Amino acid sequence: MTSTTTKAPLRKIAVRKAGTVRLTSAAAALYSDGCLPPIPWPF
Amino acid sequence: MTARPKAVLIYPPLTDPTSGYHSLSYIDSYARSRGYPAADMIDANIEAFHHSFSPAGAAWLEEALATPPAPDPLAHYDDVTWQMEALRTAEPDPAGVREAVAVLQDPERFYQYDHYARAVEQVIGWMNCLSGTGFPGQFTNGFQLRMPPAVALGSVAALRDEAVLERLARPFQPYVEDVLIPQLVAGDYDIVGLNITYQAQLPFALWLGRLIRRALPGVFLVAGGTEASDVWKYLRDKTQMFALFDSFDAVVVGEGETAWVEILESVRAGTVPSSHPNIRLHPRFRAMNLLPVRYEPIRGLPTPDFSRLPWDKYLSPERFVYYSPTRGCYWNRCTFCDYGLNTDGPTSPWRQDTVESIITDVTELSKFAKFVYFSVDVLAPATILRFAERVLETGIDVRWGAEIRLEKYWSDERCEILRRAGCVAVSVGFESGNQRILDLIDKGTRPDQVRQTITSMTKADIGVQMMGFTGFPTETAAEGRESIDFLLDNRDLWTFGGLGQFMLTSGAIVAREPDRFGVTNIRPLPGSDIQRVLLYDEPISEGARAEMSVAAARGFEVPHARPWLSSVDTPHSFFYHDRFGVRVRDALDRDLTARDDDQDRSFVLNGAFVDRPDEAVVDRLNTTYQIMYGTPIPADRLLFRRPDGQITPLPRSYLPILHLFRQPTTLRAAHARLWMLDAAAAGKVWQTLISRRLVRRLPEFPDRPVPDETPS
Ligand code: B12
Ligand code: SF4
Repeated sequence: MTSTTTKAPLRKIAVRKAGTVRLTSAAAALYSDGCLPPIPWPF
Repeated sequence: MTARPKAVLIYPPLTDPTSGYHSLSYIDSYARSRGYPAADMIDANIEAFHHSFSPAGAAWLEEALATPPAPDPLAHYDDVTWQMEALRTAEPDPAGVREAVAVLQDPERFYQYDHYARAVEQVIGWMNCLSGTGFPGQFTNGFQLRMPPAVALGSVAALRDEAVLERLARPFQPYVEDVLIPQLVAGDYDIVGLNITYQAQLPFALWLGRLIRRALPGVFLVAGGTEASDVWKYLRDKTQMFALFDSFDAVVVGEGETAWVEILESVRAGTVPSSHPNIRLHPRFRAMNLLPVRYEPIRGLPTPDFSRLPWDKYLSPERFVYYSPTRGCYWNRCTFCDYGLNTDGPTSPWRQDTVESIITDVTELSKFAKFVYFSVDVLAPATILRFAERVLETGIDVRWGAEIRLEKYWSDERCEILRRAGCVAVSVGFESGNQRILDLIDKGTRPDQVRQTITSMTKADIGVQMMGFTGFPTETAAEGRESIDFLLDNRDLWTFGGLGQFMLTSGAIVAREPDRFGVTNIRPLPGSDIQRVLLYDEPISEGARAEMSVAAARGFEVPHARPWLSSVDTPHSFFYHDRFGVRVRDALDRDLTARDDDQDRSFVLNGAFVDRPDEAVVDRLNTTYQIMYGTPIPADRLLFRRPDGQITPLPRSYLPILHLFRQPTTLRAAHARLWMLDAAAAGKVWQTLISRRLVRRLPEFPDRPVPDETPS
């Protein structure tokens, strides 16, 4: 669920392991619903 | 007979559409208190937006979008950029944006996040369409301006190039040519004053200046505001000022009350306003002025009168006015700070009005608007507390917010008084979670004490909007992570906010005393004449920069990164805080979550699949995607575009699922068709679709035919 309480620990992991490489796996965990994050515009 | 001099004051685009800014009311109210006639006031930012979806505006837009774009006068944007622009832009939907405006102005639907989020998406989608008539990608997130690099850098040549200005301002051309200029001509004005508060208004103001000069050759044309002052402050070669403002007679640098009165007086007398130190005159007056600016004694300023702004047009359900009873900052020591109308310190000199006149003003303002925002660098703790006590004593009914410093002073009891007196939320610069960095900044705070203060605020149900940054000179990655950790570890003690990145500006103490901060080789950005930001060498923070920017961006991205139209801590944020208190994020989450009562509610697709663009476009998109997420967009993903142009790469398995929502469908009915998914898996899918707003709840929305956004 996207409640703040359950999202927070996930985000904490994403940031705690902040090395760019480890971050990738944390990001993957965050998006384990199979749906990737939206595309940031590189204009 | 018309009272002379007849003046009109204008707010040019591009700025916040949710309320009116106050600087012009300040100078006008002051002039009136000195016996001058009231000026007319035009908020061209909000007027141009409304005109864009009027029948005439919408017809123009449709035609403009159907015509291939004229060559880029800066020769900067390539075909790939245009394809990206096309990718984010759907067909213009004027009925949709009108409906969005109605929702944003509706005191009920505004507070239902489903409605609110849809309205914001529609407004952003509309601005994306307008953007397609200017430079690709120029309007982002609705009312933010992404300028072509030469313009953003402050190249005088680019900002003087009429083709560049015209192109950037093209989305507003119909309003300006068909409405604004005729209105100014008909108005028979002696003086036209333009406010330029934000950098994003500068190119539009310069363009307007040219059109106004042509239409009204004899008028006295003057600009002022924090951005006009910044141009002066950061312009390397001050003689270039009127190369830029060549259509203008004068620019007011610094505060404007007495300068505006001098301009009114000299136009009335037929003389040149050459004695006020804040008035920079065009060289043709041969009265070059390099005097230091004068700061106004703010005691005794009249209560600003906001009645001349077009309140029925702003995209808000309530009136929200800005009020500035203090100027400068009583601390005035932070080494990164280079703020507003300052000259030789971090901010301008500290001045504050008396609590009694603040009470008089707020009593007056509260009759006009429910929300009063203290639009100041900072409020002094004892003053706010005394103000709050007097509000309670006098029984003024008002909601308010302010920027404050995180002082120890704020005990539970004192915060409680603020809240009872109508304080809804505060904005605070916590800056860093690391003591060494806080000391280098000279912030005068400690993380444990900051935690205590925000705990007291939160207990009192005052929302805390947190701002900080990483990358201060000599900050290591470990120190930067302490700031991120501080925010995440205390996630329940602040509502919205996030972390930016340190940028060096020339007025900051860091730039004046670089040795203290390990900073060397300070230099301007190549190509910039208005040198707002400086480059420098400092290996430690530089080494940590890439990691910090990704970590900060990732850590604060979902799901509340940009919940509001415009930025954090603008009016919408305060309205929501007022309604929902410090639990405000729950009010958002409630609608971004698959709920039990959703089973029998209809949902419909919120957007459409778009064709995968050329590989060159995907490659370009991958540049930022790779940096942010460490992976390119997988080749087999389908791209789904929301109405706000946000594109989400989806696995193919989502295609049949989303297909179900082409027509309004309940989750129960959809699940019956997806019999192969067990309840848990279906729940997860619904959660994804709802939290990312790939589908939206239907029945609560007004009856409009569902557009056929059928994926191919
Ligand atoms: C309070 C404040 C906010 C508040 C409220 C802002 C608002 N009302 O919209 C909040 C927190 C929302 C905010 C947000 C932002 N802000 Co702000 N904000 C300020 C602050 C601290 C005070 C502004 C103020 O109210 N001053 C009091 C009024 C009465 O003074 P004034 O506007 O300067 O007007 C006087 C003179 O300029 C002059 N004048 C003005 N117009 C004219 C016209 C004529 C014809 C004449 C003669 C004179 C004249 O006379 C007036 C009376 O003395 C200033 C810093 C500062 N001290 O100036 C930054 C400042 C304006 N903000 C700034 C920025 C960058 C932002 C954001 C873009 C930050 C972000 N990245 O999100 C956002 C944008 C929000 C938006 N509207 O879209 C910058 C703008 C710099 C620039 N050149 O672009 C400033 C200058 C801070 C800085 N970095 O130096 N901000
Ligand atoms: S950062 Fe804030 S507290 Fe520090 S000097 Fe600037 S305005 Fe004052």
